[in-house]
Amino acid sequence: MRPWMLIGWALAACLPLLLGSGYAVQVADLALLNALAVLGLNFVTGYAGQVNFGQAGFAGIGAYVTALGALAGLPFWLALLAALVVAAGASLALGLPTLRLRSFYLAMATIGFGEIVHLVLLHWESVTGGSSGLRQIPPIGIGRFVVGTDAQAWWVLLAVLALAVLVAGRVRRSWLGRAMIATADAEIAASLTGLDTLRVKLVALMLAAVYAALSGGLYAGYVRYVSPDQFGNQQAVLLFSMLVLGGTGSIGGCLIGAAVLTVLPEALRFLHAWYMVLYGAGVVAIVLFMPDGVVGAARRLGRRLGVG
Amino acid sequence: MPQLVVSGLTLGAVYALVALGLLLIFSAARVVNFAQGQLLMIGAYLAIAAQVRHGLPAWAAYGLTLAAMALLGVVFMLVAWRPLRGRPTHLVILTTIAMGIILENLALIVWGPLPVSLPAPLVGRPWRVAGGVITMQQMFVMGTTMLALVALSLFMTRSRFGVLMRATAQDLDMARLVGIRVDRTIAAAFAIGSGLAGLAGLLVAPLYLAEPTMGGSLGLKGFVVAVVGGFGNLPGAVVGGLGLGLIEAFAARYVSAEYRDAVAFIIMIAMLCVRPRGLFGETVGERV
Amino acid sequence: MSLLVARGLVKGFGGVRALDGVDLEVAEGSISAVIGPNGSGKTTLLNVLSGAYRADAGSIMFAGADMAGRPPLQFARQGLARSFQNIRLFTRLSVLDNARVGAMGGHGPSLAAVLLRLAAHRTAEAMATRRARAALDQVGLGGLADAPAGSLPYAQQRLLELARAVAGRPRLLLLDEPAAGMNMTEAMALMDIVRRLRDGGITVLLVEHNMRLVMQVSDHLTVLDFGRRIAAGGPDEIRRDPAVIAAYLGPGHGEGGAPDA
Repeated sequence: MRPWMLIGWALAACLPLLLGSGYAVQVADLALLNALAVLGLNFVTGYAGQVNFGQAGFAGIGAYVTALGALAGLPFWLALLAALVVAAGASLALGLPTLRLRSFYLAMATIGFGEIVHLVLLHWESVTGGSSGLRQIPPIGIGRFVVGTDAQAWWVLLAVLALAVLVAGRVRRSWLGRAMIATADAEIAASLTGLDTLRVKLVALMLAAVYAALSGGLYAGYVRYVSPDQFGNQQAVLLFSMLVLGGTGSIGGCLIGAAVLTVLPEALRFLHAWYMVLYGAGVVAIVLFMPDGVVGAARRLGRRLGVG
Repeated sequence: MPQLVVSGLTLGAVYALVALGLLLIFSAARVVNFAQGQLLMIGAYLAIAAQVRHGLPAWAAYGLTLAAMALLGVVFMLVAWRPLRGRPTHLVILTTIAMGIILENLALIVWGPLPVSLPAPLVGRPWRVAGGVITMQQMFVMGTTMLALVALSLFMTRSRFGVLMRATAQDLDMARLVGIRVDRTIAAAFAIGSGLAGLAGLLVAPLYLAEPTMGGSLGLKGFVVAVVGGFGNLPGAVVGGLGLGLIEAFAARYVSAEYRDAVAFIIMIAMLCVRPRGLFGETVGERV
Repeated sequence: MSLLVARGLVKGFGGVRALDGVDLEVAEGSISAVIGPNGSGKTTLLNVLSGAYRADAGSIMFAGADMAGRPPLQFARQGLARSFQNIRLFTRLSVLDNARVGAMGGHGPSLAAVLLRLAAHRTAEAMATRRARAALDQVGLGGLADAPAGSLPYAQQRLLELARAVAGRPRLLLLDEPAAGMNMTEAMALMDIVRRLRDGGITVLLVEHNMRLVMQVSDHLTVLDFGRRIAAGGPDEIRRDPAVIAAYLGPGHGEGGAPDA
């Protein structure tokens, strides 16, 4: 790990001490949770180039399985683990038939998946509590340690995110990361090196789903309340926007995108519906003028300054 | 039972119109417009604004709405097609989704969250057919859809413009080389596609109420229909739309009213797995 | 010994028969070439022989296995590698990483091995890096290992495609117009590389436009015209074959060069 990264993580660990109010820390915690889901999306969309609008659906599966498990008396970590397994299974079920499809067909299939998950959460009332959701979910904890404050949650979530970043970096620097990018850049050439590109895409989607479920499960334990609307298509689009804003295919970009688009709506709350108009216009502007996101733009700026 | 058929076919006709607009834009520009449902919603509101607020007669309100929608279609073309050619598909998709978000929230700001209705343009006694009742508006919706299908099919196959459109979709650079004014052709496709969404909107508004969020679900159903009918096949879209309307009506009655929306998505995913070219789609060879 | 034997290959697109019953043999350890006027079916043939297209009819025996109808993946695993006429590099990866994808092929270790950096992961990475660097050195790109593949000039992109294919240690290497867009010096250097690869034990089948190059480097040629094989043999035989002369120069040996189909 490079020294400036270490400094970054250390600074991040001090954040709750710098942020005065509990509300600000809560927003920061939500940013970490979103960052987890976006990091996952980066595997399948950023690296492997497969459109995935099902990320919120996977997060929903993760949140509800964790919540139900914990409410049924399982230790939190075990419920979370179960959630990851279920989400991984769901990703295989979705990906095996659909990852052969080309771009916008896949987009529709994943949107359809997200809608189905949302409808099931909404209408399977005996299990999911319907539109009123599940309340009084046991908090994040392991053994005798239980997360009690927003600041404690920050440290736990930050540690999880650090681990998630580490894993993402290892995948990126391994044959798998290379294979994902190769599949996105030139699939036929990739398969003619002997690479099973369908399998590579499946692994990418599975990693995406597991990250999303981790995000959802921790959300359930942090907020201690889940409802279907938190995992609808709007959330899927938001996660996608975070990825594009930060810089598709960049781990740092995922973190930046998640931070910006989590904090911004809170900071601009006074705009009401105008915020959503601004958000839509902002996404269009990013796509048109900064298609490789904040990280790509910064890199280009740096190169220009370096040369000129 | 006959009543289910009537209401299913009516809603199905609306799905079909949404799908037709999608197909037209796709067949010329190779862009899947994920904001088609929001365009429909805008069409409904524009008709209401013209007719209810400003007291225009129905025909004038409708004409004005369709013209405005065509213009909006051109705006879409300028944002979501022209600057984005050759960009990764996920960026194009995200752009159209974002445009939909903008429209939905603008509608919320301008017209408020409460549902509003549009008076039906044709007044008359409902018909009784085989134990069911068909209102004038339901007849009007189905009739207009059929007319739109016929007109579009003729337009695409017989008119010079339709041929240009298909040529442009096949090979943009080649089309440009042989002197087709590509931008104009694509703009026209977007205008007509958006106009079709507006048409669906003003047909739907007297039947169900208009509200800012009405587009999301209708837009998605439009895709389902387009996929099932085979992307690029106009009659397929209409058959698919009517079929989906019927299936939903019956599923809501006999299976589960709550999961009626899930039925469409399950059908779509199943179709994508088994036959991604749709029921009536042609097989297209992939180039290496 | 023939490494590759294809019999009666047919491939149609719409109403056009791009391949109309083509036979082809490639002897192990040789450099073979497929030549023919534009539109004669050469690239289609390579696409069928690498599994990118599925033949409508005919058989393909490669390294003792019946390959007809199998996906590209299995051709690769059977020991085939290829380059593309319209270059298909992994543009977001570095030069070295492009070659490493070729070197690793389908032999990557499990996800667990990657995440935990198990021995399987480390040995596989070391092997891939070694083979990739060797391949880059063979084509003369060793000094550019860290450059982004998308930033290379055209001729070097072609060389990188070659390196990526070679890094997987294939038995048979298909090259689709490897010298296209190169000047004569670059093309001659490329042919030297191809010869050295053959001497190192890789059988080569190439499609090439530049007749001078092909005649110099090939041990055996197959000539296609309108999707049919009109001649096959050594360079000297081909040069004297009247059918070949007619196909290239048109009946009557007039001016005008290769007819476009």
